[in-house]
Amino acid sequence: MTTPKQILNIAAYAGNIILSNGGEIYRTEDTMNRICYAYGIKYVDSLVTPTGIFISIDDGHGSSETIVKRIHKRRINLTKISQVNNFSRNLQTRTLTHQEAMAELRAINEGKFKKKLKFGLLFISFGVSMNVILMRASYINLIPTILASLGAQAVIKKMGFLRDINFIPEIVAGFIAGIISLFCYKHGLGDNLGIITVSAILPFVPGVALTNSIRDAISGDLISATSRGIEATLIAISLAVGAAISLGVLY
Amino acid sequence: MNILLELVASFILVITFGSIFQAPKKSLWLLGLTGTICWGSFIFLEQLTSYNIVISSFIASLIVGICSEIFARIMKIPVTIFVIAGIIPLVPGVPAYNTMLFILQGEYIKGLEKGINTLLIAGAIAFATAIVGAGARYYKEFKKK
Repeated sequence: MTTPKQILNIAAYAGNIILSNGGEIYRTEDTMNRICYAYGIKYVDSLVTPTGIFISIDDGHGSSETIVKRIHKRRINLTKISQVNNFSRNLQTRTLTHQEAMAELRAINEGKFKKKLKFGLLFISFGVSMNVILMRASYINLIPTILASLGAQAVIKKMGFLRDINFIPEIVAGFIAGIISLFCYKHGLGDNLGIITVSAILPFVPGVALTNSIRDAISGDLISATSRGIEATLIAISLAVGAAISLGVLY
Repeated sequence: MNILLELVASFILVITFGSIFQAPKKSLWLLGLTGTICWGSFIFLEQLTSYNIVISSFIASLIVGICSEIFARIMKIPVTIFVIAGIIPLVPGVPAYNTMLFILQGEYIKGLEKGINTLLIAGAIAFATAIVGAGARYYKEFKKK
């Protein structure tokens, strides 16, 4: 028999994984509520913001439990979101004990550590350079785009503690990509500076923040919608600032 | 020939973004297909509306949203995965770059013109995504009754 406190722990851990890997507010609340209902709790209320989770349950006989989780680190891993989603759906049909559920969630959260080799960076750079074809520039621009994108990503990887400060990696990425593409352009490799720079900084475009902000706004989570919209705007501006600094230095 | 190359390029670009955001491996092919449908409809609409980028982006994002809802139902994974990667080929990168460049050179009027252009394209994509999301929710509640 799982106590209400243990049910809350399971729900909050699942919510924590979804929220810290780039899920929407609606999905987090829905998953947590569904887990609680699956264990037979009647009254569940949850409030989720991008930086924290509050969830409270009541069994209808006057005893209630509450838990608060603070989210500090946020990164993007859509596989984990999809796995937790499946976990909560499966919970409807089979009931797990506290230990089993926590073990399963922990396995999802720690996951297979995906090694990112140099090959991975090369593949991403190659894929991003396809943007040159979509923008209908001449094919000579492909080579400087691959170089600039590779340089920017390698520098971000090797940056150490600076990587965890908000908006600094984006400025640095814009700067490095701008300098490399300007260098190639000055030496006759490539004929459209704008398209080279834009394609090189494409991996840092805040796509997840923007999409989540829109989807949060639709479902009525206005706090999260505004804060994520501002996050996306600031990331875009820092990329532009980085590219502008490189142009200003070398022009 | 050019169009075929562009379609292949959009396929690879969208798969790349899928792997950057670590989408589930089994969804990658459908993800690429979303990107190809997106760019194909964009090319077609561009010819149809005589190079009106804003309207083409709007309708192409609508198509991406509908495809994502269908594919997500088939694969039983969250819709966001498809939407995030699918709209990447439409992102107004070059107008944004030109805005920055004109403002840097002190030509504020031209910069403002390009900036408004960028905002219009971005707003069209956002609005189309919102419409499809709201429509899918309405459809779900409609089916429940």
